[in-house]
Amino acid sequence: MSIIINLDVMLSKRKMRSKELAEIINITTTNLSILKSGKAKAIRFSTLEAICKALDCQPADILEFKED
Amino acid sequence: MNKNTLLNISLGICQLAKILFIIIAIGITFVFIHVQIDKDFYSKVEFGLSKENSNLNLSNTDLNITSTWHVTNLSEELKNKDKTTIYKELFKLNKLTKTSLYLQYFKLSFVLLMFFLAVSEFQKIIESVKSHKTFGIQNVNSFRKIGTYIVVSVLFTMYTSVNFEQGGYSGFSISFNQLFLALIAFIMAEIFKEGNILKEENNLTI
Repeated sequence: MSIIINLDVMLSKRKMRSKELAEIINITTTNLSILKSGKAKAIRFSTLEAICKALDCQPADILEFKED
Repeated sequence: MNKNTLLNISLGICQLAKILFIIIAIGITFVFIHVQIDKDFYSKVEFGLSKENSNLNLSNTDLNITSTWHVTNLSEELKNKDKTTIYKELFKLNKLTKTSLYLQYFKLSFVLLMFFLAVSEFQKIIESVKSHKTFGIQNVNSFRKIGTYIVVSVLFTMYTSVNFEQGGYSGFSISFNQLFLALIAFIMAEIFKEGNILKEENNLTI
């Protein structure tokens, strides 16, 4: 897919574990791993907002567009 | 009536239908064996088929393309009687030839098996709806199977050839009722396929 999820990079920058983030933004670790692996078909604004709030970043820090 | 009551009633009806199919299968097997042991017992049982010769005849939503009755070696006594009396006299279960008896038995058994399998698949669908797995891929496959079973049973019963000791019947007929049911089953499979795509998309929306 041409949209790349850079959640792993942000998590390591903030020194936060996936489980911790999942608890903060109130989603399951399974769903977070789907998001991280790029298998997700869509992301809700509410989830994106919660991730940005928890990691103190901008949506562009998590999502990146790359030509196929 | 809430959803579960309706589903439970449907499950009950499916279960009853399956039991009925089993009873009918046992019944026809019993008759099939008994008619070979004691033919005279069935001397009064008429063979239930439309006794009119026809070309392209639409009756009871069945399209009879051709159907012909033929009588051979008619006795002097019967020759003077009308058609219905002759047919009543000649086309009885005990006068069925062995090949026809076997063919009819296997045909009926096969159709019963197809209907039994179709009802079983429908039961699986209802159970999945009950357990909130309505738009699973298994339901798409179940609807496709139901459609296929019905089409196979229509194809299997299309041609009928029954031979008695003195005459017989042969004909082609297509059951529109069953074909319509098969069409509905295939359409439902496509609808559930769309539902499955939407469900997967929803599941992968985080």
